[in-house]
Amino acid sequence: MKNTILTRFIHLKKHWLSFIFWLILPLIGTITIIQIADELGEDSKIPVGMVLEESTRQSLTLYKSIQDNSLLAVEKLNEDEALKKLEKHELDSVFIIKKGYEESIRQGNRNRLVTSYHSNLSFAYTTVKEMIVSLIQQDTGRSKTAYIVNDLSEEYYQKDKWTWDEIVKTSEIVQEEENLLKNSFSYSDINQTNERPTDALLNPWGIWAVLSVLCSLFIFDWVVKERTASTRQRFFFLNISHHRYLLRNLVIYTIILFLVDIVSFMMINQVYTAKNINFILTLLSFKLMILLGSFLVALCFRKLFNYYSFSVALTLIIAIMSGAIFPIKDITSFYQNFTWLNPFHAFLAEEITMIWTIILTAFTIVWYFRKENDRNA
Amino acid sequence: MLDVRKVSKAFGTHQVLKEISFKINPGEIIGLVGENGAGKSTLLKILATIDRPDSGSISLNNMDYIKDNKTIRKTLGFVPQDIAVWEDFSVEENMIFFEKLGWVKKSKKILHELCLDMKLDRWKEKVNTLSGGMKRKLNLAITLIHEPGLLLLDEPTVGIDLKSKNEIGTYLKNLAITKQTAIIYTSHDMDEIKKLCDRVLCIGDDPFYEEILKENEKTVITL
Repeated sequence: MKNTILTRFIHLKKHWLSFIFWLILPLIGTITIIQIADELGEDSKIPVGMVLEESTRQSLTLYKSIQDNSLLAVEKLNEDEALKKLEKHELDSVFIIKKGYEESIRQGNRNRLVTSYHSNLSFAYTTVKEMIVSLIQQDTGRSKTAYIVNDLSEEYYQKDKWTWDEIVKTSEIVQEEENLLKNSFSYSDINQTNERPTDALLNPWGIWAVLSVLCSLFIFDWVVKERTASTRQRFFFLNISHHRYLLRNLVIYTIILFLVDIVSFMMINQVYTAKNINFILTLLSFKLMILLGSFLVALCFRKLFNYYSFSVALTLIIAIMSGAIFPIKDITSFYQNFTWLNPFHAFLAEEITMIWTIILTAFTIVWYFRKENDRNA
Repeated sequence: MLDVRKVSKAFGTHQVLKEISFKINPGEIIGLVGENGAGKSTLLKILATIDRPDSGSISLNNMDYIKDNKTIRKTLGFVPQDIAVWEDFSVEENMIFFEKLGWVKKSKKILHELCLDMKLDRWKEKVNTLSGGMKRKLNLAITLIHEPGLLLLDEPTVGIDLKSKNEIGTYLKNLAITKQTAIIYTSHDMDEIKKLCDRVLCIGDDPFYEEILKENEKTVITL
């Protein structure tokens, strides 16, 4: 094995730059794609100016609710600045929470609580306005409810009287806790509840997985090159058969790529996700499947151009079909019994990839022993 | 040393080799001639254990080619017609690469000396910058790393200059004398064959080669 490592080192010396490039591309590519997606998301937010004429609890709550909207880039300004920016079309629209907002809410007054400005280029004004109106309606509705609860408690439950503020605060807590859209459900006969993973449009590990397939295939072009090289005939007279030489190199590449993957795990986990340390096993089992697959695919090709073309096509199909980049949960729900056929399923579900790894290992063993028999025949 | 008995080989209905028999002694250089398609390369591949005969038997140093296949390969050296070296490696890296995966361990110094003996003095240079003659010498040098007892060469000097041809010829002659290596050599260059070989094996029905060689008083065996 030591001698095989030394000979591989001679090969790697010749194209170390491209090797390093393909080695780190999954990590660098994942970080870059996520970064670009974040930047684009920031740039595509609607710039909205907010002016707060009072700093009461209600006005600040409204401001925070508007600010929390992922589609808006909210800027807190004074009125003059906001209007100047609107004139320059640096803001899409401006909303002023008028003085006496909280008082009006308490009184159940829903008119003239917020003043808005827009220009001839305000494309999102109506939408943002509707959103703010709905938030105000929610607040006024809550206020009205608080008065009703207060009246009822006065009438039927004299002991501890609740204030308007207490009722509003409790209502906000209940709204947060009982939010149906974020709740976990379970069947009545099953105690365990599973938190459904959020279907983020860009999953860092999904991007990493797809880039890993492409890079592994490109790194394994050495199999095509060395199988078709004229030097292959020399292996009849060497201490090691050509297929054993290929297999040993597969082990060497696997170890190198595993080490890089552990570093990738630590970096991606640090920046984007907070996966458990056990995820390393999921990751390595997935990578082993990819490497065995790349090795076997490379054994099927004699021309580099055909191999590269197939690699790119395969990666594109995987990117679209596997659900690694684009969520396909609704599509796959139609054929749930066959999800194991998707080689990415286990990895995306954070399970250890077993079936495909076993299948590909079996293929590799069959290939090796068939070649070994041919050589000895 | 090498004993070939009634070896036959056919590809489909085309009989390439028909009951060929000959013997080779240590230190002997045998030329293998014949028209294109006569079966020279096929015979060489069979002797190199890359291919198998349909019938007949071959033994090397009393070891059977089928039973002792692995042991026989250790004593064989085969120089293919293609230049089987890594083009993007230097001469040194090529020698080290095949030494590391070979049967016999040799120091870098000995490998360098082997190249220098062959007048291959571009140790650090990349193969793709070398002349055809230098590449052919490297092709031969790699085969000689494990010091084979029987050396099989398939047109080893094709397409190279006269100087390199002579240098390779002289080296092989010395190798046969000093190390008693048996050499089987195919070529279309009759001058080279006449100069280098002790005996010549003619393959095929064409009497052309036989007549030329007999004019030069060479021992010619028609197979």
